[in-house]
Amino acid sequence: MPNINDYLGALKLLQPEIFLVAAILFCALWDLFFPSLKRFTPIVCIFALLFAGAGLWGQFVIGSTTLFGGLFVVDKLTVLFGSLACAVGAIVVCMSTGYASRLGRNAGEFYMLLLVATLAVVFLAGTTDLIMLFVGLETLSLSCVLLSGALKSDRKSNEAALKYLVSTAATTATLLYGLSFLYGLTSSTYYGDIHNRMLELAHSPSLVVVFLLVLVLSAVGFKLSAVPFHMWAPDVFEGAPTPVTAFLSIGSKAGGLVVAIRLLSTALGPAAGDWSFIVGLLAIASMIFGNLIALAQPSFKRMLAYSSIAHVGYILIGLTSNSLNGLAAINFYVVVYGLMNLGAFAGAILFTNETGSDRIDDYAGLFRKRPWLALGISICLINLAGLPIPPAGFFAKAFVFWSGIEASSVLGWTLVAVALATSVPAIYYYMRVVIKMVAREPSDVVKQLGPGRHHLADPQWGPAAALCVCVAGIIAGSAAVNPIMNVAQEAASALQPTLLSRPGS
Amino acid sequence: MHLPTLTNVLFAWSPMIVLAPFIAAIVIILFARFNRTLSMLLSVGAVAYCFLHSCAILNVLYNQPLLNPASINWDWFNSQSFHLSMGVMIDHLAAVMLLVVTTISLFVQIYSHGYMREDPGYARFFAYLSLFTGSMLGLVVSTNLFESYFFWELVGVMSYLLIGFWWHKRTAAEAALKAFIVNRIGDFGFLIGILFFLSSTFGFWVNHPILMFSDPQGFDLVGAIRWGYSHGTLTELTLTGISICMLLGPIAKSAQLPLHVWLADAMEGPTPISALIHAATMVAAGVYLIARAYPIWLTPSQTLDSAGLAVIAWVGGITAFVAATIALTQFDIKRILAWSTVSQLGYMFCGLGTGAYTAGIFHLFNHAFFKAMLFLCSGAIIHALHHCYAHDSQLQKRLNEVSLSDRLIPPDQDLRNMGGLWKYMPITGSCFLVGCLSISGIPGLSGFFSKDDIISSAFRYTGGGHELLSALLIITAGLTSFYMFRTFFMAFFGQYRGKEEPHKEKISVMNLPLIALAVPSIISGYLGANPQWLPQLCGISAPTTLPNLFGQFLHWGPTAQFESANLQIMWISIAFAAGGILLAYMAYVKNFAVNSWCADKFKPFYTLSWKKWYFDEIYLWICQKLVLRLFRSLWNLIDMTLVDNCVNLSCFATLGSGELLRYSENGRAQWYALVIFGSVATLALLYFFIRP
Amino acid sequence: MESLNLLTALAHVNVEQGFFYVLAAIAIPLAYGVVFDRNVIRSGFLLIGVFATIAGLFFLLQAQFLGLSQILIYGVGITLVIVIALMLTNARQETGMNPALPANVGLASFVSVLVFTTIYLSLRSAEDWPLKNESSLSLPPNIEMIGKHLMTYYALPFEFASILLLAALVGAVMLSKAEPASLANAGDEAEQAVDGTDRV
Repeated sequence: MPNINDYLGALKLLQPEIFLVAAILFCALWDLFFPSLKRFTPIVCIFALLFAGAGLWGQFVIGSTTLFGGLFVVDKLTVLFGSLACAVGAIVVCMSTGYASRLGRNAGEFYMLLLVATLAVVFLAGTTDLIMLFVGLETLSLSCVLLSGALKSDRKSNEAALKYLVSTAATTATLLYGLSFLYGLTSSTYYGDIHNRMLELAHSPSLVVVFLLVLVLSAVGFKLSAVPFHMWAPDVFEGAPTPVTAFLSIGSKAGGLVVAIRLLSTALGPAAGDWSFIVGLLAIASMIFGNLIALAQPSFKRMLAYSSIAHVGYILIGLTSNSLNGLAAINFYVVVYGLMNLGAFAGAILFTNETGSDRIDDYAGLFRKRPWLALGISICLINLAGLPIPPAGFFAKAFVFWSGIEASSVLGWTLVAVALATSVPAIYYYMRVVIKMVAREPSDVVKQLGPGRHHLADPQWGPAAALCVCVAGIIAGSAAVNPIMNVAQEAASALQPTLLSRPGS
Repeated sequence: MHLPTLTNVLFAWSPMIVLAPFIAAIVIILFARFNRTLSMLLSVGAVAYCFLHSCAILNVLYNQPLLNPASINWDWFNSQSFHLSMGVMIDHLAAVMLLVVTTISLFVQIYSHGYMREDPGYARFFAYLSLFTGSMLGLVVSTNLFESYFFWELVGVMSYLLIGFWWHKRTAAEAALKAFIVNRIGDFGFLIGILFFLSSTFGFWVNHPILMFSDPQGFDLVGAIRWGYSHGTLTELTLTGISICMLLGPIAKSAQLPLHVWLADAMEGPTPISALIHAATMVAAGVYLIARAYPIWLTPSQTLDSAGLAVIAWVGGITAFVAATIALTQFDIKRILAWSTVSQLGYMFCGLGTGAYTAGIFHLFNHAFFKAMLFLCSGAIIHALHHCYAHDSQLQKRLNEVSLSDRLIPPDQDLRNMGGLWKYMPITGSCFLVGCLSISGIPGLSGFFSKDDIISSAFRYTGGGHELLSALLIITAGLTSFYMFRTFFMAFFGQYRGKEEPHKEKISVMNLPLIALAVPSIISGYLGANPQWLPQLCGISAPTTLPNLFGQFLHWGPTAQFESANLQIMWISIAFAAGGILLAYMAYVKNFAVNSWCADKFKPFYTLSWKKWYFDEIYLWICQKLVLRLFRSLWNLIDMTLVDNCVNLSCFATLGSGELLRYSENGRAQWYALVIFGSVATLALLYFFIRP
Repeated sequence: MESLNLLTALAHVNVEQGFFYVLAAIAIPLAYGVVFDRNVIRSGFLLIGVFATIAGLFFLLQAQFLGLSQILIYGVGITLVIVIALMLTNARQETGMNPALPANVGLASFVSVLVFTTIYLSLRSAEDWPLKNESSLSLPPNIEMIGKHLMTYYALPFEFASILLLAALVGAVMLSKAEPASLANAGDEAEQAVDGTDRV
């Protein structure tokens, strides 16, 4: 039975999270007391997130420590995804400042919900218990629903919120059903105990095991927007405020992914043969559908939405291999993909704020009027396409594909073959935008753009800073492939000790 | 307790040589581009630091030669089977090249302050210059072929950006595109060669950084070739194939035949760029790369009689001759200098190809100084004449609109509009004269020493056809002195033929770099000379192989190699050079009708030279009639079958995923929930029954 | 004879099972009513009935605390709030709308059958439910267990749920807060360009 000293120790390790909670309360109350100082909320949020992220990152050196008798673990994977979530949160807050005028009086609540969502991802990163998993996922879903509907005067935003709510309710149902099966079969909510029990069950998996795997995967797949649980994604991505879209496409996906990594490879590790096949099916479907439908999209945001489905397919390849290299490749991919995707969305915000358009055709000739913006977007898109300029995106893809090949199974080979085949349309639809921006005659919308604005009071500074940070991150990531990969590998290898039996009780 | 010695500090901080210009460029782009003076100071300051650091390194190396290169390596990417590093490697060759690049870059940047003073893109220009300098220095100190390739592409990019600096001029945009396309062909070959080489020696590099130029434990290019040869993964034939593929890169970068067509048109860029990038440094990078990765072009047992070197020698020899003949009839002062650059680079190729490693690099070294100075002189002339035509708005408009193929020479660059400039600009004139004498190979100036080493080496060449090769080079020497002095006489002698009086020059920020560069143009040759050589030249003592300072410093391989000069050849080439000068004097000062006589009697040859051997026309025809047509029909095929089907497929997929339902259709959310439940059940049942 | 057989069969069915079937027999029609009733408010009241029968099931399983919370929180609290909210928003106008779209009914019933089959098959396929073997009498009293766990092992999710509730609360405030007129009029034009001057 844990005593009070355990709690004090736990609280010491949870300092970054507690700090975030304090920031959440601050956001909720600041508007109320100092309405005239509203504009400082995002700045405080950014600093809080960066501070919490740095605090989390500071924990990278400590080994894995389990808190609350095994409910939550602070290891390198937690730290990696937690600080990634904080960084994503900070960049998204930064982007949102360009959106403040549309949020109306809800800006404070908006930032607060963004912090809640980030906090949920941080907690999901370290959870090793089904109850915590459920509460974390629900918090993430609820805050994302509310964020999607933050543009109250926009019909599309309201609709996005509603659709997200209904879909997320459906997957909550499936997840709960799966978790109750899991509890019924193992009589524990702790991953370690589940793992031990699954060792026996996985010998001759009955339909109920397969069913619970599918049920759990449906919830994870929903968060990741993997086909066939993806249908909410395009509508919500298009309707939600663009910063929220950016968060959904990377922040909430990182949450779903870390849950998948931890749950599947530790608790459900013994059933790896079964779930990796199902995950493989989801991956193939996601790659094919995501890429093919993205090909035909006229809207930039929608194209990114579908392509993010395709990227989930690539990420899942690493998951199916269920090896150290595969998981490391996923970690690397998420970090790099996060930067590229956030950068592309920041570019989209900048463009849409200035022109009011989101059509890919309208991006034509942007290079003439806004060379730096076009350059930034191009770098992000080229990396998303996996071309080696600069090579961060290329390496990310190569690592994941390599992990698929290393698995040397029929499934691995099939996945890599599909991934390579579907990368071709991906290159086409990303490069189409780049070529349009650089080589084509300016579109009517671009022609009407005035000279660039430079002063810092401009509401564009937030997204512009976000784009700069992302592009700089991509370039730095290309230069520092090895250090990042080391971090990714250490984070992946942190998963092994959690297989031990429940500590402390 | 011991303090780090100065030497160690110098080597430890050597990455700063590469980083300083990049930092300067980033600061300029982000913060300082609105302040012209600050931009200039940052850029010049960074390169001045690089210059001092390079000089210090050179001094250290001179006093205590390094047996193994000093290198600093960072892992860029590391796994069991593949280990890629980036770093900085300083050896004697790199030290020489560092000095060349930083010196030229420093003086060109100072000169640019005067030349670009009135340009609206002044700060941008300095940012580009800094970026280029950083990339070029990175290429020089690369530790492995991949890093070289990286910086190779980067200097290429900067080159296109700077050629197209005045992008509103149609010719500039076209020239940048041309440079881009031609270099793409070369770089593609280069990359294929690297990958081919890597794949055939892949087993060798396990647990070691790949493609290192030099490594104390022998895990470098030489070791890889030996390993590949003994393990049978590399044969003489494949190595030749690899080396020729890789050679395409240097051929394109150094504008050798048949990929030479871009360099003359690259003169559409600002003149300081022509001096820095397209005369002294980047185009010499091809030569430098061959010297750097020399083992690849040798035979597997590291002897000189390889097919790869033969190709280099003949490409160089033929290019030197062809480019010189083209330069004979041009009127654009910058293009004449560009063709002469192509020709001189041909000499360097020929030197490396015939095994005269030191002589090739020595010529690179000397050529950089005098060619940069010649370009800066031509820039000074253009600057002085520019105002005569600047107010003619119709002309300027036309200049902005013509295409490259119209070959309209801007009047301030046209030799026919010059003449008698000596009395307006004596300093420029004397510097130009020094350059002309040096490039012509007149004894006593720098060009003579290295050029004659190369010609002698070509004569000693054992690969067959050495008479033809050395004859080509000797004739080229004559042609060189003719066209250089033709330029000199047409520009500085006789009557001024332009419309308005040019400005009289005064000592300014544009003259100082000229004078500064004239000094090495005169004396740098003596680094490669041995006092004992003089009696040999006069026939007093028998010709022997003589050590010299440059060769000693730069020795390559186990022992230092020295190329001896061949006396007969030397006299012949001096005679040809003198003859060329004399002919030019007769034709352009004494106004003998040599010129028109030649043009009449040898009309086909004259046209051939004026039309640049029809290379542009042939390539254009190949491009338009063959490649483009093939490409277009292929594209149509792809478009019709593949893309159309893909789009159809994606329509189908769209249909399948319910995308066709309109956005705000009622009940869509229910449909989503239904799909989730349905697919959960289907997946479970499906997997349970098809499970392997 | 037949009636005797039935009696013996009934005798084998113990009281717990009997109650289970009775509760199930009530719950299923009520649940169908919730889905198919055209009057939303009536649906809401039927929902209270469903929750009550589920609470009965909890009692049967000797989970008294869960049963009570089910009645207190779901059966009374939440459902009443829903019903009152529906009444206040004048839902009567929409009673004519059938919640299930005609076009999807076929598909929906197919999926329902499929889901039911899967659940049924998987429940049948489980050989062993460990919880079944634990005697409910050997466990310590319910409330004490729950309280202890909430304060020790499950302290973190318990505390974290407060963040969830706070977010829900703030979200509710955000969605119900009246918009200033200028923004409310913006309507569908919200996607249009934002001028530098109108930022908040």
